[in-house]
Parts: sequence; C-alpha cells; structure tokens
Amino acid sequence: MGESIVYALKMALAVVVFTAFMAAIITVIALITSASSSTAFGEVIGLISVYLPFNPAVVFGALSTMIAGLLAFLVAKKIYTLTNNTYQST
Amino acid sequence: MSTKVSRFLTLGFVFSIALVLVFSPITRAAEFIIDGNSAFVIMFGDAYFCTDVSLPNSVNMNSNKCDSQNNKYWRHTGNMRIESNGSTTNWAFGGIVLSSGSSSLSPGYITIPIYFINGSQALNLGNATGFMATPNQSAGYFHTVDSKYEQLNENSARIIVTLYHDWTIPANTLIYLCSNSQNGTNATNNPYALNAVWSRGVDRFGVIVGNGIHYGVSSSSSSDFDDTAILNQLYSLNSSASSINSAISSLGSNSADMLDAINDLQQTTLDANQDANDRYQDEKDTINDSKDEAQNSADSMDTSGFSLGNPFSSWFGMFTNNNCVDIPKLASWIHSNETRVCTPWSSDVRSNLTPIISVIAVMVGFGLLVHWLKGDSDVGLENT
Repeated sequence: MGESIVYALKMALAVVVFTAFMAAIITVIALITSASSSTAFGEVIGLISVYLPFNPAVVFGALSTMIAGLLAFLVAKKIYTLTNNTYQST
Repeated sequence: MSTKVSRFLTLGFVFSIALVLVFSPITRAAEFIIDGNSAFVIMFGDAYFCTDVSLPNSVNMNSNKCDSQNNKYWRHTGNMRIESNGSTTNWAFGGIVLSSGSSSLSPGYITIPIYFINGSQALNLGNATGFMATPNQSAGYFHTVDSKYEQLNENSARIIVTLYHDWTIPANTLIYLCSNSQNGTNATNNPYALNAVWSRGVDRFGVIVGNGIHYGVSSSSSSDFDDTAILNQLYSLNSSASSINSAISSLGSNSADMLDAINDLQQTTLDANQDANDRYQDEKDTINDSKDEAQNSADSMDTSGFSLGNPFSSWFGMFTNNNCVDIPKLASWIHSNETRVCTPWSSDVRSNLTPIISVIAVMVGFGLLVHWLKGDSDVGLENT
C-alpha cells in the first residue's frame, strides 16, 4: 500500500514536471516563431515552401508530429528516471 | 546520439537539401528571353531625305551612288541624314548598306523595294538588292525588309522602312541609302541573306519626300548634324510657300491620328490608374491578411502556453500550404518589383508528391524510432 502511494506520487510528480517542461518548450518555440514569422526569415521559409514540389505544411506537419512524440517520450522518460532516482536516494 | 544515428541524420539532411536544389526551379529565374520586339530596337531619327544630285524629273538607276570606294553614296552617321546640295521632289532610293566605317564588306545582303517618287505618285520600280558591311563586328544578316508607302498630301509622302536583323547596330554606324542596285548584282550570287532566319531586332526609319517636309522620329544615335544641309533645307522651306502650306496640310491630315493618339493615351492612363488601384487594393488586402495572420499567431501563442500540443507546430506552421507567398522585404532587398512569388509546380504535381513524400518521411522517421526503441544498435534505450 505504501509503495503504491509512493509510486503514485512519483508518477504525479513526473507528470507535473513533464507538463511544465513541455509548456515551457512550447512557449519558447512559439515566441521564436512569432518573432521570426514577420521578418525576412519568414519570407525565406515561405519562399522555400512555394518552390518545394510538395505541400510542406502536410509533410513537415507529419514530421513535426513524429518529432513531438519522440521529444515527449524522451522528456517523460528522463523525468521519470530523475524522480525515481531522487526518491530512492532520499 | 551515436555515430550511426548522426550519420543517418546527416545523410538525410544532405539528401533533403540536394532534393530541394535539384527540383527547385530557382535557378531558372536567371533565364531571359530576347524576342524580336524587346531587344535592339533602334529608331533612327530626325530623318530627312535630300538628294545629292539633281533629280528633277527622273532617276538614273544606273548611277554609281553605291560606290563606296568613290565615296558616292548617301551617307548617314548618327541621326539619319542625307546631305543635299539641292532640293527636288522626285527621287528614288534603294539598297541599304550598313557599315561600321570600313569599306570592306561581309556577306549580308538585303532586298528592298525601290520607289520612284514623282509628285504625289509613288511608283514601285521593283526590288533592289543592297549589302551591308560589318567589319569588326559579329555580323548577322537582315532577313526581312519591309517598306510601306503612305501618301500624306499632294506633295509629300512617307516611306517607312523596317529592318529585321539579328545583330546590334553599333553607334556611329554608317547607313548608306543608294540610288541604284550596283551591289545587288553580287548579292544575287550570295544566298546567305536570304537564308538568315533569326530575328533579334527591328529598326524602322521613316522619310518624308516632297518639298522639304521632314519626318522626325526618335533616335538612339549620336547627333552629327551638318549645318549646311540644315540651312539649305531651311532656305528651301522659307523660299517656298507651298512647302509651308503642305506642311500645314500635313499637320491637318494628321489631326485625326493625333486625336486617336490622345484617346489612346487617355485610355492608357485610365488603365494605368486602374492597375494602380488594383495593386493598392491587393497590397491593402495583403497587409490585412498579414495582420490577421499575426493576430492568429499571437492568439495561438497565448493559448499554447497552457496546452500540451505539438511544440513544433508553430515552427513548421511557417511553411505555408499556399501556392503564392508575399516577399515584400526580400523584394526590396533585391530591388525587385515582384513582391509575390507563386509556385512553378502545378497543383497535380504537388498533390501527387505530397502524400508520397509524407509517407516516405514518416516511414523513415518511425523506422528510425522503432530501430532505436528495439535497442538493436548502440543507440538503444539502455544507452540513453
């Protein structure tokens, strides 16, 4: 029983830390994107988009989903490992 | 990351860049097309014809006016001009020679009609073949010469000669208008001019024949006026009231053309204003769209801070799925008027390649991910 409670607290802590970390990453990337979208860099990206022989929003959207899933997995695994080690060390 | 993964990603990145470079038609922007109406259009101007010999009532078509060795030709340097020592209303011309200053000749023969002007009558005497000399030039050939005769009034007529050629007429080119076809005899044995097919330029010059009425057109050549010839012409004009009357008549006959030109100019102005209004409206719409897009981006940024969506969606969202994109900053940097660039690919190509490349990209990505998760390589989870 006690181990289950500790395990649940550990998972809750991992979820909270993961949520905060992902929210921070999303915020930072969104800030960078919004700052660069109206600049010449955004125009270069748009220029690349129209000269590609495929729809980059679709292709890169799929890739971004895959990369996001991979990032979420790695972050969650790392946080879980950290919280587990922290609990065992104390 | 291990060496294998780094190598795989590097190769994938290089392959992607190579794919973009190979299939992207950006380099095609350097191509340009020169057609017959856009290049090397030279209008010989301030042209008027006088005769260097008296031709009161007849033209000696066997005279030696084209003999460049003896310097007996009607010569033009810069602005088209034929020096005169007399005035007449009857003359003929034919055989145009272009030269850069030397008397040596290269094969380039032309054939133009010869008109005999007798008062208000223009009699086509047939064709005369002339030659052009282009020493020290990368010569081309006239392949078409057209001429048109327009009667302006009783005493004046206008002849428009149009030359289609494939070489650039340099500055200070001498143009000889010969009154005979002496060199045409040789031209008949040379088929080069008749076989030339390339058109790289159109030159037109006009002359008004009659009692000293001059027909001027714009010029791209340097001026080389002969004061004596001009004075002679002025004396001729002042001494002849009929010349003035004919000039007035000529202007009157051209009034309809002037009105048409004014109407065309007004229509052109209206079209230009309409185009300017359209461009202004388009730019206004573009600005509004940009504002909406920026607002939407800001809204998405505000909400993304409290959600767990795809963190890379905003980044990859910069790649537009539109067929056209506005590049006002880049256009200003490269001093281009084209602020909107559209894709050169057809919708069929993009719609067919999009799912194929999407599937391939996702398969490669998830293949790498599964390979990683399985731990078959040195990049397994146990090593992370």
